[in-house]
Amino acid sequence: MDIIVDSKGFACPMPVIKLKKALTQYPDESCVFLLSLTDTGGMKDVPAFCRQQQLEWVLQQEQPFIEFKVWRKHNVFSGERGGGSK
Amino acid sequence: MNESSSEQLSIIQTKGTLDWAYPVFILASTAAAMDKKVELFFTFYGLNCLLKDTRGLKVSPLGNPGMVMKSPVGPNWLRAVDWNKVLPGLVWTLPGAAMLATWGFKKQMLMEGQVPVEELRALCLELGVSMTACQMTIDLMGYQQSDFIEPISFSGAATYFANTPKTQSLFI
Repeated sequence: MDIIVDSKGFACPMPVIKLKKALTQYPDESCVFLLSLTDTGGMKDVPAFCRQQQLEWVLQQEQPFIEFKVWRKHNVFSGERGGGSK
Repeated sequence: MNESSSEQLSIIQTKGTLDWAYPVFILASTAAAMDKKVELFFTFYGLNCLLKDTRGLKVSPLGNPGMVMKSPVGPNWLRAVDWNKVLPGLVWTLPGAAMLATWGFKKQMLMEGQVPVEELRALCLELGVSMTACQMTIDLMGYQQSDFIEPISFSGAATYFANTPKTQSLFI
């Protein structure tokens, strides 16, 4: 299931907080989180958060807003590997 | 308690202005979102950050040379001016200067995508940040426990240190 986490227009620390709240709200392993943000600090903060929280991630786009796809490590989501696209 | 020090964050907040309230709640909410056990201890003017009534949280360029003071409204050339650099410090002693600076600061923060400090504080509590108000300074400054938001605890320095063994402390 795709979960949209829209934090466009919000500054640090809201993108990470919103992602965390979504992760708590949807504990199912099959959930894939689509996090959108405009806070450029998130380019480093979101991957750092994911590493620390044992999450996989991939940067989907940078323009017109930043979008990350995030999922739990044990989720074998379409065989894709994250954690190093940027 | 068996958390390692890397899984904890503790901050002692002694400042009672809006520009000092933000960093503590930003760091605390982020650490809590990263599953760290967060302990905040509020003492002296830091108690301002825990009051239900946040009107006392102000910001002033007076005696605050590091503050960047820009107009949140007006044409771009006007917004680019850092008034704390171009105006003499004496200006900030004028009546209403702190009110104007606080209004501008709040507006600027919202425009930059920051949430109001009350909302950030509530998020911290929601994420499990533990907040303690120093009972000694509450008595000293004549506050009542009912003046403060909930849920927080009231105790002294010994309780704070007993609850935060080994942990890193930032003194703000």
